[in-house]
Amino acid sequence: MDWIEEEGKSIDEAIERALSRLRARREEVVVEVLEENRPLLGFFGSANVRIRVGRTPTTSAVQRAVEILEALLQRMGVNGTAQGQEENGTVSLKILSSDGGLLIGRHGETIDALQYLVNRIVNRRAVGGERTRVVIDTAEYRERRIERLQSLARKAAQEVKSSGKAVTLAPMSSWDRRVIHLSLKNDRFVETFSTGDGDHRQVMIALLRRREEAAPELPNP
Amino acid sequence: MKELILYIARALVDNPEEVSVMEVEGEKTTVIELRVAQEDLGKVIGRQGRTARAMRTILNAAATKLRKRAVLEILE
Repeated sequence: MDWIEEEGKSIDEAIERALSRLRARREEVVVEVLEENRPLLGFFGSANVRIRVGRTPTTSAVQRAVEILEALLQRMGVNGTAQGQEENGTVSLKILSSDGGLLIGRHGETIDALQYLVNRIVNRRAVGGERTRVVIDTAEYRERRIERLQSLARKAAQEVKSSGKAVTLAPMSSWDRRVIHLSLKNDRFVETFSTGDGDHRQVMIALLRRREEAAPELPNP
Repeated sequence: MKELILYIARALVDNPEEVSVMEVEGEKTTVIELRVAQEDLGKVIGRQGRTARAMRTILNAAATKLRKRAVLEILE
């Protein structure tokens, strides 16, 4: 555990300072008092304490994500439990619930909202590249959606190849767009990119011209 | 429903102790009023209102379960 030292006129004040330095909450740290000088006879000199504060080892990302999701379900009044696993930095959560339809919502908007919020909460203090991606599914909804998106991508790519014209798909979420990009990644005849802003970002599928003109496909070195 | 919004808001902001939620029950619709510290407003609204929209979607699902309607108001 990494410790930081802090001083203050009282223990509370010292803790307060340490917490703001660590950007942590009280329940996330352990505090040890190193030195506590009480004022002599109650009024000579001022009290001074020195403490050290360390962040408690964080629970695993899966565990945190499961806890957050179950807390949300419970407060939504939904009976359900969550199970999770982690693979390559992605946490996959599955909700087991008899309220599947309610949890999915129209066009998947409820499950997408849950997924978005759990991601935000899990990554609240994440800096830079330390983000954990959380994917939430229930009743195989997302698996079926992946299949639908893949088939949409294949059909659109086919159209691009036969007409030679670029095809722009309807606006969709980043998660959906990612599925489209990935499913056509290995197609040697088309390339995909996203255009537009915010809620209106769309995937565009275009013929990959001759190699030298085409935007180079760069696998990360 | 109040507890749901309280939980989400507290989990998102930097000043959880300044989050307060009021549930105002109407005849058909319940209004959930969320207040957070000024500096945390952006955290509960999100880029292009995405976080607020996600909270509203989940609140709707929770309300449906209770056969009610609920709206979320984020107060400044």
